[in-house]
Amino acid sequence: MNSEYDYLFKLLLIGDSGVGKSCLLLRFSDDTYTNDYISTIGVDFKIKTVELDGKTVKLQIWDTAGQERFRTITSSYYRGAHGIIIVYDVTDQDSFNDVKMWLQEIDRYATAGVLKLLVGNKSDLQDKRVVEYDVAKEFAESLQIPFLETSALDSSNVEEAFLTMARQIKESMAQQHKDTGKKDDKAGVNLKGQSLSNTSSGCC
Amino acid sequence: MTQKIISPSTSVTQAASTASTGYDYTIGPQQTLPNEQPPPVLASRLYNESLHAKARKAQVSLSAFAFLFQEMISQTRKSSKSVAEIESKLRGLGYPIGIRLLELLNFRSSLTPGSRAFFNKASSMSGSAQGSNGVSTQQEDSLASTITTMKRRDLRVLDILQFIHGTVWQYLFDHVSDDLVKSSERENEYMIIDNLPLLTQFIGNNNVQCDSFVCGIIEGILDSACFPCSVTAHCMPEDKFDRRVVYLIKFDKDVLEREALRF
Amino acid sequence: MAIQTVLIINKSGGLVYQRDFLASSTKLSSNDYLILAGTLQGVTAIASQVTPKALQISGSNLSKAANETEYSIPYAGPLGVKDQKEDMGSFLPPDYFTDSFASWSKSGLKHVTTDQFSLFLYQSMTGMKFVAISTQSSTSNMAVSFAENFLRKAYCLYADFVMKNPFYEPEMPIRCELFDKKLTEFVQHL
Repeated sequence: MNSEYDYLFKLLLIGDSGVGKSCLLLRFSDDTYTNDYISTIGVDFKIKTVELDGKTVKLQIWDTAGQERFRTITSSYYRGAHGIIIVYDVTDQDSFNDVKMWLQEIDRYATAGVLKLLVGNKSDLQDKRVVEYDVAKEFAESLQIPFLETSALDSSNVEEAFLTMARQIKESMAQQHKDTGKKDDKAGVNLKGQSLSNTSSGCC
Repeated sequence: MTQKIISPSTSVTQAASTASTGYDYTIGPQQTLPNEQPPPVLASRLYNESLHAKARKAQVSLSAFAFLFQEMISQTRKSSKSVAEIESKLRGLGYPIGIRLLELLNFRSSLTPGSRAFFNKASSMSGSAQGSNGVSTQQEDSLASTITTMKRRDLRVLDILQFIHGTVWQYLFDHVSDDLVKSSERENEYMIIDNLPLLTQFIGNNNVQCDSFVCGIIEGILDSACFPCSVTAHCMPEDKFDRRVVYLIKFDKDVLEREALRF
Repeated sequence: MAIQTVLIINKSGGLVYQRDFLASSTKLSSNDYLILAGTLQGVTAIASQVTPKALQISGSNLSKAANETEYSIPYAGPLGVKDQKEDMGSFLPPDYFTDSFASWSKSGLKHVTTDQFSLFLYQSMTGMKFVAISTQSSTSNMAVSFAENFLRKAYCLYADFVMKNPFYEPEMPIRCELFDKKLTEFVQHL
């Protein structure tokens, strides 16, 4: 029995508590799976299956809820992540300020060159907004990280961001599968014959 | 002539005495175990060591080779656009090996028991003889004198195929190939069969036929022996041997014409 | 003790291989297996954290010689090897290894047991995790060392038939026909 998927990408979702990481994920992933038992040990998983160039890709998103209490094992979550999404709350200045701290954490624990994405959540709460789009955009550009704002109402942006990330990861994989779908080479070949190896004393 | 064959050996010796690790294709397969004494440095290393009684049964690490082969295929794969391109590149990698093997193995089969004795003598006096020009010239002469007749070139299709099926397979894979078959349908087709291909034993059947590398070796041998042909590998599982590979050799038609004229 | 499922988890906690050997066993969906793998990764990390520091230190350098015997796992006999002439890949017959060996996982999770089943976890030096789920609840040390022998051999097969396959992409799901075949043979001959 072969596994049903060709690729497995590990994406990590980080950010201050209360910025709506889990909410964001619920919006994004169709086959959600919540398990209270799992979140008690510091991480929850969402798995999204997407098709890229005819390959089945599973995006396993590690939602690091309740992060603070489990800070000591953080490194094991960052390990081998292909992409990291940093979330902040546009109505909460502190969560935006903490983005720098999260970036440091990424530098410390994650693989160098890991793909990053900055997401400002709750953009629908315009009247409570304290982090301006332009400020965040400028900040993201200075670090060369893609940036987008989203809300629970509008998640199409996020879906796109995830897919872009998945595509980038796949492209960065060492090998492209160019060798699938080869013709059956036995078709035109006749391999019937007579053994010669026992009548080997032909020469003098 | 004999000077020409042997003289590179002196320079090889000097290089090899400083760096004794790694695979030396002039020596043949060797295995160094951690607790083993390093092999004595020989005065003349070219062609000689695998004639040496001790080195003949030694092995190269299968894992090390498997990883090398794996990386060869990966590299080829990265730089190719299609299956056909990968296979032809692998073939291209094998081809020069075939050319060299033909020379080396023919030369080796020309050596007589006398030259074996010479090598044993050379190895015993290795340490002291090294670097002294007078001594090594003497040895070159004595090696040349042991060779009485050079093996003759194989002229017939069957002879050269026997050579590949026996000598070459034995040298490359440590066993004679499992069968040599003449096609019952077409005159110019022959098949060499290997039940357990050594190189691809960890890879299994894939879209890409990794045994193309061996095809290249066979092609190299046959081409440089003036039997132009094309060789393809086919997976033909049978009974217990689910990785059985058939190497199909198609000779050009002038090979058969020549064969008909001569014999 | 029958092996129900074998899982292989890569060093970042992603499930790269899952295979059921008993038809009757209750099947989890592939997503559930992924979650199980990720959870085990977290639990193993936590298990290392709760291991008393004193043990970790003494295990690593202080009284090394004394500890080695403690952590070494005895050789459990020729598991899953049917005859002497079997093709052992790059390992020499008659068995993949015949010595006792030291466990690389001195502080991580090794064994989970319930009334219905047992789960054994063997960690490689690089952090790969090999998991076997058996149909019996077993608490004896014998069973654990048996399972570690078994999983170590599975690791040997992995080294041969996955790592030496040029068509396998490291860290990605394992799709190697030969590995499948060898592992099945191995489990069937236990």
